[in-house]
Order: sequence, then structure tokens, then C-alpha cells
Amino acid sequence: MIHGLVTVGTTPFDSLIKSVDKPSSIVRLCIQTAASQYCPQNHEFKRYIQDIESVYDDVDFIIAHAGAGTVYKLLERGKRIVVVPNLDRSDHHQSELAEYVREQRFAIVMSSEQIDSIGIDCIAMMAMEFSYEPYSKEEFFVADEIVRFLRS
Amino acid sequence: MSSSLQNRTGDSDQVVVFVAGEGGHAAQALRFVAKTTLPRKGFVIVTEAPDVSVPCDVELNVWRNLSRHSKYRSLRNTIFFLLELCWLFAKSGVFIWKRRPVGIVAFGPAFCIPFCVWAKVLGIRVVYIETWSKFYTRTKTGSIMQHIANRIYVQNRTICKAYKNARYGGTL
Repeated sequence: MIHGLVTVGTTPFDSLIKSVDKPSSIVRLCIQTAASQYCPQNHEFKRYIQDIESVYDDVDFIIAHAGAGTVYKLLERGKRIVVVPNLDRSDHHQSELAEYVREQRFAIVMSSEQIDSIGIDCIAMMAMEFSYEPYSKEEFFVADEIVRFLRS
Repeated sequence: MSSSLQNRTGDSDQVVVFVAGEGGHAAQALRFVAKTTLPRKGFVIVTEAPDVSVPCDVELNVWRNLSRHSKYRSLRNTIFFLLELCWLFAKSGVFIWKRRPVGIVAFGPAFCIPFCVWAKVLGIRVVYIETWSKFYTRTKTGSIMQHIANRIYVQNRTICKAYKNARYGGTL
């Protein structure tokens, strides 16, 4: 059995939740739905998960919205991720980060429609077998400079 | 008005206000505070995120969530967004006047703009940090903030060309 987590952060993302909520004999999902209207029928779900970071370590792969807070945290932990930009939102601000992680091969990037058509079993297998590039970043180095500038 | 004036809470510590929305914006503010090696006394985080925890030497102010009205486009949301923005302008003005910070660090989104406008009016320094999720184009907030902020920092080198005078500072 492959264990997966689906997380949408704080914003409803009904199209993603519907697309992953398919019966499966090889994948067991925990779905964090936030205020999404659709309630999963085939997998366990919770509106919010206390201490979600401990859950990250208990699952084999994660399907996540492309919110930066979530994505960076998962990349830093070296998790297997399928990133899905939330295009249900009007601002589409998750698209650039999704494009970036796709280009760098840090994660698999898909739309809700693609997940719906490919199926959760196949997505889980892809997530397990994908060759992820290790994530690295240049650490923020101007925090003290900024505080000094403001206090000078 | 001098930004070095004492704040109106009566203490002489230099207040620095960090303004951030919810989700990743709040996460960036928290990471910024954790990165600084300077004394954090006087640091105040103002955020829309209800579920953040901050170090004990940092003050936390959780405000009503303005961004929830801008995520989905509809006439109702637009009206509520504009009404709450007016309310936020008033409330943030009172906040800035009372606390009189020496500077503001803004992490977006639109929630941070009223604070920065008041700071600009009162001669308080403003630094805007473009969100870590932008690589190629400015955010709408960034487009406005480049006319308000004294300094703009970006977290991805690829977006430097989208701003006239942005400085690259690494990624939070």
C-alpha cells in the first residue's frame, strides 16, 4: 500500500480534491481539504491537520497545491511531490512557482484535469519512480542589512 | 516627521513592523525574523494568518483576513474587499500613528499596502520583499510598492529585470 497526503493549504481547491478522490486498492490518501465544498468519499479527509509537518514524514508521497509555503517546506525536506497549481483562484499566482519546480525537476507538476484523467494509482506510481533533482537555494543573506537600514 | 522619534507606546526601543498576509507571506515574515542575528526587541509581526506562532521576544498581531475576498472574483467579493480595504486603511493608520515604528518590512499581498502608505506619509522607511513564488513577473502588490518602498528586495535572480532598482537577497 502506498500512503499519500493531499494538502491544499488554507484555500479551497475543489477540483484537485475531486480529481484524487477515486477508489484505489494500492493507494491510501489522507486529504486535507481546508474550506473546500467537496467532501471526499473514498479516502480519509480532514479540514486542517494539526502539525502537518509530522505527517509529511509518515507518507510516501504528497500531492500539494503550489503555495510557496507548502512547496518550499516539502522541497527542503526532500519529499516526493506532485505540485498542482490552484487555478480555481482568480489570481493564478501559483503558476510561476509551479513552472519553476517543473523546469528544475524538483517535483512533478500537473493540473487537476491531468490527475483526473491519469488516475490516482498511476500518479502514485509516477511520484514514487520520478527522478527528482535535489533542491538547493541561496540562503537569504540581507535580513540584518535590512534591519540596520531601518534602524539607522 | 523624523523616523527616529520615539514610538508612542512610551518605550525607547525601535519598533520594526513586519506586515504579511497569510500562508506563504506569513511564513516569509517568520523566516525573516528567525534569520536576523540582531536584537529582536521591538519586532512586531502584523499578519492575517490566524495560526502562526512567533518567538517569545516578538510581538504578534493577528488582524482580520482581507485576502479571503480577493481569491475568487465576484461582485460580492469585490464589494467586501473594497469595504474591508477602507476599514484596513483606517485601522492601520491608527496603528502606525500609535506605534510609530522606525521602519516597515512588507511581504505582501494587498494587506500590507495601507500600512506602507501611512508609513510613507509619516516619513517612516519601508522595505518591500517580493514574494518567493515569483520568478518572472511582478505581483500587483509589487507594482504598487515600487512607488512607495525605499528599498525593494527580490528572492529570485530571474525577477530582477522586472524591477528598476530591486536588490537580490537570496531566498527565505
